[in-house]
Amino acid sequence: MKGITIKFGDVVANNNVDFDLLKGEVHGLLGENGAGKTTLMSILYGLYQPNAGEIIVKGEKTTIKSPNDAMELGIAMVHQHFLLTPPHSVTENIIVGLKSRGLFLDLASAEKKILYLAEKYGLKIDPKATIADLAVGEQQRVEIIKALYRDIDILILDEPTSMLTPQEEKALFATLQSMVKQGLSIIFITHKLHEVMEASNRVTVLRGGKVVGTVKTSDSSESELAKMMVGRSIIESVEPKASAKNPAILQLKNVSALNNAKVKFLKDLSLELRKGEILGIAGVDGNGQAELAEVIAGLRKVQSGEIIMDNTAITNAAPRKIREWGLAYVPQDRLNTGLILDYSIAENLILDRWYKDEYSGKIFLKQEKMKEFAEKVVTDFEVKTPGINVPVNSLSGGNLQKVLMARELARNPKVLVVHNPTRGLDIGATEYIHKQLVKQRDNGVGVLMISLDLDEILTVCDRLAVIYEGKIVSVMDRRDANVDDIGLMMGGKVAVASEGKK
Amino acid sequence: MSVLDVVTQTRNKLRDVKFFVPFASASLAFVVGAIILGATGVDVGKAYTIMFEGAFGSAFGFGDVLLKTTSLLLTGLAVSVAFRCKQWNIGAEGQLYMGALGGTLVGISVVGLIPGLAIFLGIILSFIFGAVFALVPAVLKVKFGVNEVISTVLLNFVAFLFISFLLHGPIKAPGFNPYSPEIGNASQMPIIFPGTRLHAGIIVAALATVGVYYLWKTKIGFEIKSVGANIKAARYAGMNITKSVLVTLAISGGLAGIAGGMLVSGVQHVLIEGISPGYGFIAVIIALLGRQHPIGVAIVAFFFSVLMTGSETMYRSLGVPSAFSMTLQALVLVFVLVGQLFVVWLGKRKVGGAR
Amino acid sequence: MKLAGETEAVIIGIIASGIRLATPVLFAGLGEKIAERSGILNLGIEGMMLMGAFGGFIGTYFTGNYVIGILLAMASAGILAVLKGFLSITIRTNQLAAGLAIWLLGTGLAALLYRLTFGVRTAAPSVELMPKIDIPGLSNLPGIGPILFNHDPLVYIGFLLVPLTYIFIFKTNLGLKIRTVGENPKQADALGVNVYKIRYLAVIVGGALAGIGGAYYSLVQTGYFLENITGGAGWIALALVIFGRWKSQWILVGALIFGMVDAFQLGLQALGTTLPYQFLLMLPYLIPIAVLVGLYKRTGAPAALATPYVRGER
Repeated sequence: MKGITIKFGDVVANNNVDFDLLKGEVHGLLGENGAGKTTLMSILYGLYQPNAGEIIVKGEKTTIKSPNDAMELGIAMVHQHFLLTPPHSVTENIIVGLKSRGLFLDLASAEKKILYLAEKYGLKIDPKATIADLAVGEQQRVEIIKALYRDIDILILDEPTSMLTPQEEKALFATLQSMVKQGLSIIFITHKLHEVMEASNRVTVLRGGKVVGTVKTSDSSESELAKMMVGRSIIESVEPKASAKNPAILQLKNVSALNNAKVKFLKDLSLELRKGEILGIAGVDGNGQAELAEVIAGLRKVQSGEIIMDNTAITNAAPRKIREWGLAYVPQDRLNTGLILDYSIAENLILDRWYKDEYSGKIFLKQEKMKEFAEKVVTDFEVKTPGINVPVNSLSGGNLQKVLMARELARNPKVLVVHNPTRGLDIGATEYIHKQLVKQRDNGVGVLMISLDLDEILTVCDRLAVIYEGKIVSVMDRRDANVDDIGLMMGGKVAVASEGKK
Repeated sequence: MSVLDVVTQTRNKLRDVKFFVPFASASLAFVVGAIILGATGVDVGKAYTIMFEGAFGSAFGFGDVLLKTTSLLLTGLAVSVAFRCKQWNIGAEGQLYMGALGGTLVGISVVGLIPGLAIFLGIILSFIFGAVFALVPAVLKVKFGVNEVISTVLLNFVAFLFISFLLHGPIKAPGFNPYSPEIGNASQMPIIFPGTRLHAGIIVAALATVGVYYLWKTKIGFEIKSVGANIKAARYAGMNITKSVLVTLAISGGLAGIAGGMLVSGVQHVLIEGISPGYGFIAVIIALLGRQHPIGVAIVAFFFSVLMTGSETMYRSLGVPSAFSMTLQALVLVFVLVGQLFVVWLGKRKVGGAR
Repeated sequence: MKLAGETEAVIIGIIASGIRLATPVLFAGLGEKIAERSGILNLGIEGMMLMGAFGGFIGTYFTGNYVIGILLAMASAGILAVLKGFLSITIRTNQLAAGLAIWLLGTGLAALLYRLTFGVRTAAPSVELMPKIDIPGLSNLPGIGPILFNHDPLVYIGFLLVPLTYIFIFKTNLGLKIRTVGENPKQADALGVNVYKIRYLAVIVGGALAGIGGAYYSLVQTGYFLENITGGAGWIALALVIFGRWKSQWILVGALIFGMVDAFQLGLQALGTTLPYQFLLMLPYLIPIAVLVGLYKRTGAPAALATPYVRGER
């Protein structure tokens, strides 16, 4: 792939990216969230068309317009979220859509071929099993066999270990080795350092849509790769405040919870947020951040453990109760959770308080009060809008976030949880939101900022914690933070990081 | 001119087209209907004239239009309340029948009451009967996850059969036909225009329209419509999903129930098996065409009852099968749906051109 | 002894007529099963059946050939299925509304076209009822013979369709595609299956089978075409698919329960008893709901049922 550039609106997701894959290698594609890894591979798999650049497969320049084209060229991709049909058998999932000879399904010979492939690459699987009964690791094997069954040369794996147990992970790496020995080439998208070290021959590191470099794994080290991946020093734009003496306002004690797939995703997580501080939660996406925010807000059931806010146990309380006791929460999905896009600013602003006497009589909502509130917010927060009664879907992202923030801040909270508060916003809006957070801190509110953007955390937080696989692996003052160590911890290298400190 | 102005202007233009398209689509449906009619050997011009005259040509005819509007409007509102909360209630017909039963029971038991009170009680009980019957699928949904589309469709037939059972046994009036006894005079809706069949029920329907309009401005209405607009956001904001589903279906079933009660108290004065010609089913179409807005529902309900009344006249004077009105209704729906697609397509093209 | 014999004859009669009453809903139910397996919910079966009843009638009336009648029944209902497909697959309108539109359109059109064909007559035109075929050697068996082997050809075809649709859905390449499209259209699309084409096909096959079910009323049961001749069978078919949890063999069981209950209550009514037969008739509607309650969210319904597929939406 040469000079690949792709833009989504004004965002340049890949900027003049060169990438080459050799026959018979495992090539790691390393980078933080939003570095452009998956986008680059989606281009190779025909899901997106690049604005510029060319793709050369086996010496020939090609255009790949659809996954079908990619498959014809021998390229297959296993997505992070599997594309399988749970009630169907393994074999059925693998052979559906194949050009078939004859009317009837030839399950017997398909099963034979699956077993042959399974044997050849060390992928243990029962072709007759039903997908719904399989563990995640087994489902992944089905996805890989699905690709192999179609006689491919290049296999792209997108974050293949994100849901695997360590044992399953080991088995996967062994499979990759046996596949490259048979002449396949593999591209392995990940953000975990030990994985590239363990499983790949070469690594290409992406950052901000650009290639930082391609190195041989054996010539590199985890700390070097971490530096390439994160690659920045601390920008101190907000003076951190020492909060060590402040009393705790929110405590999580050994909290465990399941994710949407009913897998235990928060594992005995403990955390303490103090009054008048901004505590940042750094980590790579999918390590339990969403679950963490949701258990605090009462939107996800806590399996075990305890959550205490200002001396009140809020574990598994109703969302409305928790909010009344002093929580404000700005969810990451501002478009589909934080706001109702078909609603006006005025309506969105009372979404969480429509029942209060201030905005509602016994029967009717108080339209005048709603209007007053909306006008005040539009003025105070400088929301650019054609009017308070137009649906908010006509507002820009920054203005939407302002409306959402305004509603949450108007609660006069004790604790404010914000999740990716500035993702997708321009610099002006980002600064504005940051100022609001600092203002809350200065007023004594405990602010928990969960963010995928490490820069953001290093810019505004007083303390920061790193989350990895559902656990807080380290907490530190921002003054003591070392970006390389944080990079390592985000990649799951706790031991190395603490050794580095000694 | 700022970008915002351009956006607003484009929007306004689009809105003009949007406003125009459904009417154009409906007219097209009439053209296709004309072709079908012509093929059956009927003089189309004459047929449509008779249809128009049937609906508007006499006080009696127009009274019947408003009479049908009463039923279609109430059931249409019933369905649109449910749809606003994304509860796909296809059971308005059954709820209507149960409401008719409730109204009948009041009508045959409180014969001695003063008229106003008897009528009021009849409306209340028909609301309760419809609401309770709609709560069955609602409870099945929140307790057991039973899809309400399927349960409400099936429960319609349970209601028909239950009414049929009652009319053949427990509440059968003496005589050959499976009718209930006639309701007392006090329970009968007064005719508001002499010489027509139009009764005071149209006022009830109008009040219900206003009621639904203001429902969305109430505390509970806001909760319900938020659950429908975005269930995730509603949950996040601390709203009670279970309560919203139950309240929505109760209101929905209750409105359909009132429609049924007034078919007894205003038109038949007895309960019979086929008391509704499918108002509750047509209501689904009316709710969709009226975009679940009370005013829109009222307009479409009126339009459809003109169609139905006119078709009846066509049947009486030209022998055009009454099935023609069903065909025409279906055609209107299909054409308006396709028309909506056209608007979307137009919108995309405009946006594409702006880039 | 004579009394015992009479009772036996009555029971045999009820069972045999139950099988005949089950046949049209069996056809429609199996058809709807195929459509729903691909993810299309069709509330318009009743309309399709009525078009089938009409198409079957005129085909047979004008040619005297039952095969042509049945083919025309399939085609008439199939045209409505194409429209249903257009509304639900191509322009992705609300599937409930699209289904109800089909129901109204089928009901209205069948009556109108009948009128177009025959005008107003004093005596309703009729066709001879489809003859019964005795299976040689089997139809004379005591008890079993009249119950199972003394029927019109459509009964045999309907019962044959139970294993055939099972094999079609579970054992053929096309069947696998239909199932995958109904469960996970994204996967199907990613593997090169044309989701839209498969769904159209399934809806049309479903419509054609509903058409045969409708024709059963005009060609086998009455010999006439009447408005609303199907009497709500389309809705029963819809219930059967849920009762049968989208499996042919259970749809058959459901259809037979319905047929027997119906035959039994007709018998009761004929006897002039005052037993509340309505409660028997409620069973076909109540049992599917009870089944759904018992399954508690694990219904086995195709995951993408009633969900339109938009290509490239991630």
